[in-house]
Amino acid sequence: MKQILAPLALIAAAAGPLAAQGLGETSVITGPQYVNYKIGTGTGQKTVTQLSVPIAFIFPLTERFSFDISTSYADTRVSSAGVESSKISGLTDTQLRANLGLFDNTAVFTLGANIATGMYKVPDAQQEAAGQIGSDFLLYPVSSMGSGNALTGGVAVARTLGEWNLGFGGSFRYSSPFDAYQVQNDVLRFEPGSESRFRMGLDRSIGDGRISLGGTYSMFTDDKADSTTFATGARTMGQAAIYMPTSMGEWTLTAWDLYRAEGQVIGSTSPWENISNVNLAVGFSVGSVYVQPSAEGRFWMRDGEKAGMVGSGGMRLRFDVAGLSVNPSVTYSQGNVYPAGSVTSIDVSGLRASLLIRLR
Amino acid sequence: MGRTTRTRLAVALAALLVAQAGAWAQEITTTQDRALTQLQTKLAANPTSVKALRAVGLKLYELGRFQDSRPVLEQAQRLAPKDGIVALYSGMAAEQVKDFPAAKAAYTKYLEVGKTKKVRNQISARLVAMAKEELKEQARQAVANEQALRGAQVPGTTVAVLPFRCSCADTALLPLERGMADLVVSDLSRSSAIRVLERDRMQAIADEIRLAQTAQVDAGTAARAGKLIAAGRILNGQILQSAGQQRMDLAGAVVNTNSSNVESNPAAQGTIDALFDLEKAFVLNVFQQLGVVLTVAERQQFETRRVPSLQAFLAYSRGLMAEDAGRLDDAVRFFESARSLDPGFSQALVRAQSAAAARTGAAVTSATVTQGLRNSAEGQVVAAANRGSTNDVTLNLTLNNVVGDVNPTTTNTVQNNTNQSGGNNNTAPTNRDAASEKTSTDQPAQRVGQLTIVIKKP
Repeated sequence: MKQILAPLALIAAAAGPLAAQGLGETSVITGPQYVNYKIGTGTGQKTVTQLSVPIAFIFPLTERFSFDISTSYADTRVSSAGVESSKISGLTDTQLRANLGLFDNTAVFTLGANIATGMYKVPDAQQEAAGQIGSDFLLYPVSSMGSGNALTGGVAVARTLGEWNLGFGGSFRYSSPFDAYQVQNDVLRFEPGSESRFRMGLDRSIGDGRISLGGTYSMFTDDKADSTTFATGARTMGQAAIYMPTSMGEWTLTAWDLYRAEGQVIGSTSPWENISNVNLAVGFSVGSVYVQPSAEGRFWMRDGEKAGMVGSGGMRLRFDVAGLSVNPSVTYSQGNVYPAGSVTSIDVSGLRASLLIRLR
Repeated sequence: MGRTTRTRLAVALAALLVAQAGAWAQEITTTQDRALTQLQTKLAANPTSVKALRAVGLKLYELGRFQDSRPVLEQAQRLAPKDGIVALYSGMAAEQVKDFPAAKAAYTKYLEVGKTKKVRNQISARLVAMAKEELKEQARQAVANEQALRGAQVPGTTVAVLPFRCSCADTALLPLERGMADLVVSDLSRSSAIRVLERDRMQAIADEIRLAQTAQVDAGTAARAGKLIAAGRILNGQILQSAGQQRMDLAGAVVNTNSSNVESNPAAQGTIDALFDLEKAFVLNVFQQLGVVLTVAERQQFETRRVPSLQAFLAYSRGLMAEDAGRLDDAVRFFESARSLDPGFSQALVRAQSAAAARTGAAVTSATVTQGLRNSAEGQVVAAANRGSTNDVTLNLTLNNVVGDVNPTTTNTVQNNTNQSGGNNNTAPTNRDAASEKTSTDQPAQRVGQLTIVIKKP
C-alpha cells in the first residue's frame, strides 16, 4: 500500500506546476501518471512500476508560428517476488518542435529535434527497467529513456471535402548514433534507421458528435547495433474515434490497430505482430462532478498466434475546487501474455492512475 | 510566534493576495483586449471576411458589449445566412438588449441552420420562455408610451378580453377568472368577423397596470387597457356565485376603447354543473351584442366543440393562474393534472408542454448555451474567437492531428492525456523504442534476469 501511496503523493505534488498554465500566451502542461503491472504469479511474479511526470511548454508566438518544448521525468522499477531487480530514473530526451502555418493555416511545416538529455550507456542493473517500458502492448507513459539526437522535418495539409475534413502529411526522421547500453565493459552503440512516415486523417461532424479516422504508415532504413545491421518491420497504424453526446451521456468509442511487419532483433528474427485496442467511455454529470467510466480491451497477436490480451476498467472524474479543475483517474487491467513460442499464458494485472489539476 | 506577529503576517498575506488578484484581473483584461484588437485588425484588413466579422462579433459578445456586437454579427449574417453560430449569437445579443423580434428571428434561423442538437433544443425552449418575456416587455413599452396612444383610433373589430372577476362565495372557483377568459377568447376566435387578441397578451397588460389590485374595473380603466393593447373593444367580464347556491351568473361590459363608453352588457345565467353551457350562452350573447353573425360552418364548429370535465377545467384554470404568476413548476403540475382528469383535454396537454418548455427555456442562459456548445464544432468556433483567432477550428484540429502524428512529441501525449473533454491516458503507441525492440527487452513475458547482449565486433 505504501508503495502505491508514495507515488500518488508525488503525482499530486507534481501536478502543482499546472497553476502556471495560462500565463501570457504560454501554456505549461503536465499530466503525471503512475502505472503498475504485475506479470506472472507466485515467486516468478515480475512487477514493473513507472511514475512519469511529463512537462510541456507551448509557445504560440503568432497565429502562424508556434513551438513547444517537452520532456519527462520517469522512475521505472522492476522487481521479482518483491525484490527490486532493476531500476532506472531520470529525465528522458527533450523534444523541441516548431510549427509554421502556411496558406491561411491550411498547411503546416513542422521541424523537430530530439535532444539526447535522457539516460544513455545504461548499465546492467538498469537495462531491464529501461527495456520493459518499450512494450507496445502494455503501453507505459514513457516508453524510452533515450533514443539519441534526431531531427524530424515534415509537412501536413488539411482540406475540406464537403462535410469531411481531410488531412494528410509526411515526415522524415534522421537519427544519429548513440550509446544505448553498457554491457559489462562494452558499450553498445546503436544507430536507429531513418524513418519515413505518412499519415492521412478524415473527420466530420455527425449531429452533435464527431467521427475521425486515421492511418499512419512508417518505414525504416536498417538499424545498426555496433557493426551489425538489422532490418526492422514497417509499422502500420489505423485509428478511429466516434464522439457522440446523447441524453444518456457523452459517448466516446475509440479504436486503434498497430501492425508491425516482420523484422530482426539481435540474435533472431522478430515475427509480425498486431495489437488491437478498443475503448468505450461514457461521461455524465452527477451533481457538480463529471464522471467518466470506461472499458477497454487490447489484443496482441504474434506470427498468427495469441500473444496477449488485457481488459481494463477505468474511472475518470472532473470537479472544481477553489477555482481549479481537478481530474483524477484510475484504471485497473487484467489479462495475460504468452512468452514467445509458448502456449502457456502468464497472468498480467495492472493499475494506472493519474491526477491532473488545471486552471479552469 | 506572538499574536501581534501572527496578525501582521495575516494582514500582509491578505494584502499580497488582494494585490495579486488585482494583477491577475488586469492580466485577464489585457489578454481579452489584445484578442479583440487582433480580431479587429484582421477585420480592418478584410472587412467582408465572414470569419473575421463572426469572430469580432463573438468576442464583443463575450466582453459583454452586446449592442456593439449586433451590427457586426448582423453583417456576418447577411453575408453568410447559413452560419449557425452567427445566427445564435445574433439572437443572444438581441435578447440581451431586449430586441425580442430580432432575437426571435435569429433564433428561428439557428433552429434552421444550427448544427448542435443540444443547443437547438435549448433555443426551442428559450423561444417559448422569451415569448412571455416579450409580452411583458411590450406591455411595459405600451405603458411607457401611453401618452402617444391618446387619441389614436383603433379598429372596433379588434377585441380583447380582460381577466374575469370572480365574485364567488366558493373560493375554489377563483381560478375561473383566468380559465373563463381563456375559454371566451377561444370561442370568440371562432368568428372570422373579429380579431380576438390572445389572453396572454391581455394578461401582460393587466399585470403591468396592476389591474388585479384594482377593486372595480370601470369603463375608463378597461378602455385604458384596451388602448394599451390596441384593441377597439374590450370585454370586461364578471362571474357571480352566491354562498350555498348552484346558480352562477356571467355578466360583462363591452367597452369601446375609442370613446370609453360601455356599448353593451352581455349576460347569461346557469349553474356551476352546466358551466360550459353557461359560457356558450354568454359568448353567443357577446356575438349578438357585437353584431357578429357566425357562418354556418363557424356555428357548427362552435356548437360541436368538445368541453372538458369541470374538475379538469378547474385544474387547467389553476395552471393558468400559476403560469401568469411565473410559477412554472406548479403550472406544469396543474396542466398535467387537468390532462389526467380528462385525457381528451388536448388544450391542457398543449399548455403543459408549453409551460414545461418555458420552464426549460427560463433556465437557458449564455452560460448554459456555452456549455451546450462544448465539444461541438460550433463551440470550437466560439473558443477560437475568444482566443482572438479566426481560424477554421475544425480544419485546424484535423491539421494538428496530422502534425501530431507525423512529428509526435511528448507535448502531444500530454495534451491528449489532459484533454478537458475526457482525454485518454492510454493512447496508441506513436513511436518505437528501437533499442529495446532490437534487444527484445520490451517483451513483458521475458523472465527477470541479466540482459545478455551478444555483439560480434569485427
